[in-house]
Amino acid sequence: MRLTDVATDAEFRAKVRDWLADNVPREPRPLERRAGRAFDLAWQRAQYDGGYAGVSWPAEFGGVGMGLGEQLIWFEEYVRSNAPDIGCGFVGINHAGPTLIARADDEQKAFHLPRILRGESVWCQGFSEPGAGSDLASLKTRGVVDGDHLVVTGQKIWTSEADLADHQELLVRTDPESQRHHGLTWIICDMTLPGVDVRPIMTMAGTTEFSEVFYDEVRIPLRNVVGGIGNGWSVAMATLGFERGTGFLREQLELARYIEERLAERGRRDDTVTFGLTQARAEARAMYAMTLRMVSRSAHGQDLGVTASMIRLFYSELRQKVDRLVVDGADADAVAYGADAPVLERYLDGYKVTIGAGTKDVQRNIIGERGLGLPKS
Amino acid sequence: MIDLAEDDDQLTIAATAARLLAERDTSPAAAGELWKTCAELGWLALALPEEAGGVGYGACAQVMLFREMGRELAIGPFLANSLAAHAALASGRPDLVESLTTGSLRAALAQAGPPGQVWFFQDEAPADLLLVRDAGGDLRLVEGAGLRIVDALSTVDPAYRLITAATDPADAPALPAPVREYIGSAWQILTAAQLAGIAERVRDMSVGYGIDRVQYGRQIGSFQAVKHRCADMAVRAEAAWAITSLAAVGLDEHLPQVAFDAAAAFVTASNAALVNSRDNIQNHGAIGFTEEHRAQLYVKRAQLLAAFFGTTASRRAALQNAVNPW
Repeated sequence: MRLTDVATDAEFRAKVRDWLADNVPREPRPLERRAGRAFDLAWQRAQYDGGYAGVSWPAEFGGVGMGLGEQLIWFEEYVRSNAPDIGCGFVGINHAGPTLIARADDEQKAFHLPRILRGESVWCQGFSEPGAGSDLASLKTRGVVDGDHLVVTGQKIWTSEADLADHQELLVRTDPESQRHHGLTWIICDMTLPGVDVRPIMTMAGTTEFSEVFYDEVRIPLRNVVGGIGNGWSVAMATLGFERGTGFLREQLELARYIEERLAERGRRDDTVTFGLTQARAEARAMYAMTLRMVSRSAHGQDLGVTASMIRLFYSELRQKVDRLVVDGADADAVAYGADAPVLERYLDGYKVTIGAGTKDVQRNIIGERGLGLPKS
Repeated sequence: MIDLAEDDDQLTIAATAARLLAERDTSPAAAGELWKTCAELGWLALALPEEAGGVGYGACAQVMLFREMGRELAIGPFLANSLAAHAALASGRPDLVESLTTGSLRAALAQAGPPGQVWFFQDEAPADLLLVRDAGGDLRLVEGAGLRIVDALSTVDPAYRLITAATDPADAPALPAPVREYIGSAWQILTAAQLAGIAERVRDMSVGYGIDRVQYGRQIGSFQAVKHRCADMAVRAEAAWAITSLAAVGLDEHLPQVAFDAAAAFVTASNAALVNSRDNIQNHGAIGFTEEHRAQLYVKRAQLLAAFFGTTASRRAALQNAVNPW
């Protein structure tokens, strides 16, 4: 526990603050999905041109190669500047890109990584299936090698941004005799290939951010396989370590800012909503401290165990608690719904945070079994 | 950046403390021995500057020590002497600094009660000197001569009594604002460290029981109802320790956010210790509800520590008033 690099940090903070002040788009993100995609990619391109695309990517793969301390500052200033959500670029920057960095061959990296960084390519993740949600290893979508192609037939579901994506991280079963996490293959699927059918699903919050994706004998070139046939599970897990970095800090800080804004609106009141939000201020700060401690330990090469799952669980439950408090304090907005009444929209949309990226129950199993050494259920 | 990984010096302090506390004789008669040993090891002077006879380590080392004390339910005025020594140093009283850090004087942390009275917690050995926090938040050092005990009540924690004494703290000078702020933050942070230690220890007790205890032919820790409660205990403990560490760095480095972080650490760690110690009783079932089992001692110590920094309303106000540096 100590403070380091104070002077360098201050200099770097001033530099990124200035850049963000000059470059953050001021117009709101369009609601229509294709227009939203264009907005997200333009902002990604602006960051690329400014030298801030891929702050947590290594420099040798086109990233900024920032140190962990600089990444923390970047995300703090990013949120303070009201810069937009990463939007549909999320999977490319935070998951597909890092997976390619870890496991792809030189040709695959050279083609895809610059496109992700420059905001020219949107990615989605083809993991979950109707019969394989929390239990991902039970997936059934089939891949059959035919000459120099993999022929894929089956179905994925809950695929965020599939309707906007150019490429997909697709996990399929290539050994029909295999069980569980054996016999899987991770392949880059071009979403424009014949036989790929994307059908958006309406969420309870009234958005179509995720889709079903059907594959009818989709012929994907074998050169798109990452990590070799049959090694898909280890490729899919390759970014677990990466997710333990700063990538998720932006959401955490945005929640902290949201709490401060709602408290400021309420002013000094003696009611349960204000008390709850005051308590939430402390919890949001504790969450930041957890991330800071994880990043610090990572920098020292320590085994982080299940810390990332703990922070994810803490975040998702705090987010839902805060959303509920804001609804409780919202008066007329507690029933109004639509673009001009964001309180309930945020509240309903927030139901997803204890489901996506591993439900809260799965996170608790991970913490209990891998973290605490409790016996499997 | 703020590096929250523990360094080798900090880990050494924790390991030494853990060993000493775990191997100690916990009978009341041996409490004096532990006190003496701790003073000899410099534990009452960890954060005092070396030129004042201290170890010169700071709050980052202190939280490691106090976390172990929370885990092991250490009994004694360790926090009171550490904070009172700072107050004595700031008051130009090197004689008191020496007596407090060698342990020959015992301090207590007191809150102002009705006019002319203060109240404080004390173990078997009487307090010689008080560090009083009055209703306005001012801190004053009140020496023991002339301190008249009005009442001594049992507390929820069998190791401590609640003493009411007749004294007018306003007779002693208020400590200067920077000292008051430092001690106010340190009080919360080091209490939070003890509470974090409690949250961690009861988590470990529950995990151990979940592995050892078999019902319906299975280890009860394999049931998600128990496993998930343990997972939540682990998350609360991690949050408590992380924010306590962040606040400790802020205190050592005089960062402007320390007032907020200290309040956040106290609130987060109080909640972690209170809820975890309660869930630990639940996880143990009937044996956890008995006096013979140690689980109940953690509930009681957590309650004592969580209740002794102002009122619930004043702690909430502190959290509302401090500027959140997020």
